[in-house]
Amino acid sequence: MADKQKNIIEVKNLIKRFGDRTVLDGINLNVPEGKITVIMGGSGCGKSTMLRHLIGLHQPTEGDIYVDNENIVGMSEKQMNGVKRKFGMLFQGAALFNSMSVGDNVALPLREHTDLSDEIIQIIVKVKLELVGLTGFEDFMPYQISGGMKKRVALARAIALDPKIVFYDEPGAGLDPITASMIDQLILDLSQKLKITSVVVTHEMKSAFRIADQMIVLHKGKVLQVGTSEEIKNSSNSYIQQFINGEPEGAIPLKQTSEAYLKGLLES
Amino acid sequence: MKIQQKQKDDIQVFELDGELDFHTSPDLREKISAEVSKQNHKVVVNLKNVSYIDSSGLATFVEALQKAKRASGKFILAELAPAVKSVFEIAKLDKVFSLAGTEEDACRLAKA
Repeated sequence: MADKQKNIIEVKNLIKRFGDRTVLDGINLNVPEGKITVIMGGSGCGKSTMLRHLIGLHQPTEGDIYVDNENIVGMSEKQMNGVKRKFGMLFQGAALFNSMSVGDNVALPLREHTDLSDEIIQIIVKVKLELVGLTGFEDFMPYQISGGMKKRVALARAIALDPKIVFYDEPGAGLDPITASMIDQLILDLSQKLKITSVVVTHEMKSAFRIADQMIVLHKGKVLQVGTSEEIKNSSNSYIQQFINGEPEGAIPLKQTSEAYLKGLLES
Repeated sequence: MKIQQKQKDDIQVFELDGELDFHTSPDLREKISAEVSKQNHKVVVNLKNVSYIDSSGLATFVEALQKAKRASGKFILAELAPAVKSVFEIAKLDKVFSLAGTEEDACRLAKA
């Protein structure tokens, strides 16, 4: 690549401990601007905790997190609100307000964070709904639409304020394979058309390989490997191979050894 | 953002300089709305010095176009930088607006 790629997020030596338990253990990672970065790993690998740090919900025990050149670690709530304007978040369960119409859900961040008139907000809502393929659904209530459509409404809401970065927490969770692939296509479209940086946390392998420009594999709170889809697919790391092939036996122990069991039992 | 307004024959020309975003678009809306709402008025907006436009800027122009059409007027945008034009294309609005390469072309379109 001729141009030097700018990193919109840089995580430096991030450590997070909950009591004695180290959940993130010296994470270093970069998220290139305008690209789709997928953070993946098995349950309990630390990927959700990592995401919560990136959006400022957790403070690390040690380390720094730079978002668009600003270190968000130790920021005041007011400072953090300024940074939060730069990103949108698609929650796992869509998290729409059931008492509000689709249009009002998308309009919510515009009403909360800007002084725009309602006429202008209504036009923006229409444009955002078109971007997610839901033109004409403004007056529908969330209970009147499918799970996949709810996700798309949530995505329209996430991009309402024209964020630089969108975080996706398990975007395909609870969706059938066809709907999940439609959401993947939408993530690709938004990235390519709007040049939005996407950070996707998932353990869905098909989805990860479909969308990722860069993959980051976490295991036991550490970065195991960073690479393109091809590099991860061809990784010689036995943990990664076991994970992407979904094999029950391998380097990742399904259960603790009897030795660890006895040690844990007798020493507790 | 700087907004300059001038009259060219019977056309109101707005020259914008800066970024058109959530902070600056309400001011532009106020200035443009007054002109496009008048019957048969011709309005040209020159975007030569606009480097960035967000959804609120786009929506401001959509509303201006709606008002101009209702008032049987003309509303033309001129000299869009590629990054600005792509915002219209993404929202599939590039075919809805009259987009002119130069201010002179925009004025010709307004008079047509």
